[in-house]
Amino acid sequence: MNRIGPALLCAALFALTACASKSEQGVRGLLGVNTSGLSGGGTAAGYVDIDKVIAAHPLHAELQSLQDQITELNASTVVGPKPVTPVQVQAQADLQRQLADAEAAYTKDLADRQAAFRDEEARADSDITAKALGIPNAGPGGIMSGMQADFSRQLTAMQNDARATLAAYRTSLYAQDAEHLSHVRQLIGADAQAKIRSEESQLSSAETAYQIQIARQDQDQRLNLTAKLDNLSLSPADRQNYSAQLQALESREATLAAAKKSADASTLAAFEKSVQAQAELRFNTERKATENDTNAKLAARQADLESTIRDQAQKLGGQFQSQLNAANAKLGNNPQVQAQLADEHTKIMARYQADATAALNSYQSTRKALVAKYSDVAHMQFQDNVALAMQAQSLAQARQQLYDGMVRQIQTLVADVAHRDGIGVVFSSIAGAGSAVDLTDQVAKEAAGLPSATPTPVPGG
Amino acid sequence: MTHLRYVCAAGIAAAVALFVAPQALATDISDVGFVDQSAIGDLPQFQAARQQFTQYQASVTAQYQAAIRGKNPADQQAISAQFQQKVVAEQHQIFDNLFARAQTAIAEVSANKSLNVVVDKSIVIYGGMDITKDVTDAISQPGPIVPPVNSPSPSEIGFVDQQQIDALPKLKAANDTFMQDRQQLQAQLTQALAGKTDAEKPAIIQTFNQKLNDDQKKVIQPLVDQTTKAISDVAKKKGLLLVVDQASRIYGGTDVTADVVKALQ
Repeated sequence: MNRIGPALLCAALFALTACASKSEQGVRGLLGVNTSGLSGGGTAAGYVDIDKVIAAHPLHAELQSLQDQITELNASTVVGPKPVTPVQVQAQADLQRQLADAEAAYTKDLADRQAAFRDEEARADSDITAKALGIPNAGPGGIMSGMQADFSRQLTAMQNDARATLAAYRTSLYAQDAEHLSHVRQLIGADAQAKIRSEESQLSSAETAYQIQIARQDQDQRLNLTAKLDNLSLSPADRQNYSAQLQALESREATLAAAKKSADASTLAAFEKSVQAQAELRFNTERKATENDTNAKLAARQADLESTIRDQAQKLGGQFQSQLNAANAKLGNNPQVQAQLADEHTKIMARYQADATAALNSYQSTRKALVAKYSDVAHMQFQDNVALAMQAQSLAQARQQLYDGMVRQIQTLVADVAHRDGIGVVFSSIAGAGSAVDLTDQVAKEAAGLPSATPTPVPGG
Repeated sequence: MTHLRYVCAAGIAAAVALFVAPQALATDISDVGFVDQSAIGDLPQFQAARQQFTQYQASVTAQYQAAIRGKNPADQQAISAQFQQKVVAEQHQIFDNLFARAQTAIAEVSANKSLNVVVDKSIVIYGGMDITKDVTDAISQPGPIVPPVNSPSPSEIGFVDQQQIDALPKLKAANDTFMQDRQQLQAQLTQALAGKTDAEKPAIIQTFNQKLNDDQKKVIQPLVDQTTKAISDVAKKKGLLLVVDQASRIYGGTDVTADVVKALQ
């Protein structure tokens, strides 16, 4: 798996252009003939240097001539007369603006035409295949698109159902958890309050006992002082003295009781804090356990649903594939349908080609006229680099077509040579040879003897 | 004793035969497959992905144009980098799963057909097993594709990472020199063609081609020959049939890049 060349795959797939043959798309693409299987009969491997063989081909001069013309056009695009006067500069700016407008209009026009023809062909294909299969027309996407949409719809519905089921289960679990935790919180809270109240009560009793204890300690002295103060013949000085002693006694008792109360208040606060912390810990432990339990239940349910969906999706996929295979088989084994599709494609392509060529000619005329008009205005000959580039592109296409034709001829020669020499597989581009056989000279010699007429292009090639 | 002598003689003969023609005995070309990657690109899901990406590019280009309006070059460069990053991220988002599926499909089909190496169709001119349809069918089927358990067995087709080779200092220097020479020659050609008639131009082009060819022979060809020889030596040493560029290899094969790099250093 890790030995595949992903970069190559990416590059090759990105490099694909919109001009891919329409006949390879959609349902017909799925009906292509399976070409798998060894076509080479020998047991050895060979290679050819295709560039050397091409160089030996009688049409190489023609190929080189096209390349020279492309080189010349590309070089000419770089140079061009430069406007000097303000009138010339302005004329060039106006020309460029109008050329850009013309290009934008042409590009849009061509895209619209392409889309219209594509839709027309898709509708026609869909009609033909639907009629052949005896099912309602699935729309411009064709039968496969209809089936695929149906498959996607059913799959989405299944996924949505599963999601809703899981969401409902989650909501119900969360509600149960909330109720349970609320109850636990109440119980723990009540327990903590009871402990605090009990401690408070104990401390309060101890305070009362302490107050009684210190009052008893001073009881004799207090009675003695009270008795003395009850004596009416007591001198004012003595009375004042005894009163002060009694007050000091009461004051000491009050201070001791207050100190005890304060110490108990601190003790109670610390106790309350500790009880609250314990209660919080108990609650959190319970909450965590509940959450874990719920998450485990949810994960189990999710896995269960996913497994169910997977099974259902596989079943559905199998049905879809069977339907598709049946449709493909029915269409593939129906030469009338194939002929109708091919005929429709040919007709539409011919009309499109004619239409596109007319649009291109009109666009080129517009460019030419604009260049002529502004060249007159500026009294200098402007150069249309886009037209030159288009010309170069057209030459490049012609060159590619010629090259492909030459390669096809060479392919036949290679097959003959390989067959004769017992070679099973031949590579056309290698980095270095090991024990493979170099067939270049043999093939080049045969290629040199080929007729110098241009090979017939392959449709869609 | 006589019997033993015959056995020894037969053993020696077999060893000699193996030494003289090791490849003839070892060659197995039935494990070579190829794929037409353009057919994979034509699959509806790839077309849809390309269309989606093109639309995204168009929308981002419009946003980019609006964003750089009135900005200085430094800001424009920063904005450009940001947008490029966005585009690359979207590209991965759209294509990665498809590419992974295509890769798994190729691996699955190759394993089922006992292929140990799969290359791009463009480099096979004759023979080999075309697995394009099996691969496109596997990609198109619904549901996941099961990847093969085992890696492909060692193949007699090797591959080399040409980019790594080209990055070697002496090769890079030669390539850079040739590119500079080429640019200079093209500039000279442009000047030479200016104001010339159509009749005069072919001779100028021919001179340009000749100069370019001479320069290529002088600067590049010796290193190309050296590299090709190094690759061939490694291929022979390892008992390989041939070595292709990694860019043309899709699955399996024997990587000889490290050996070639070592030989060239």
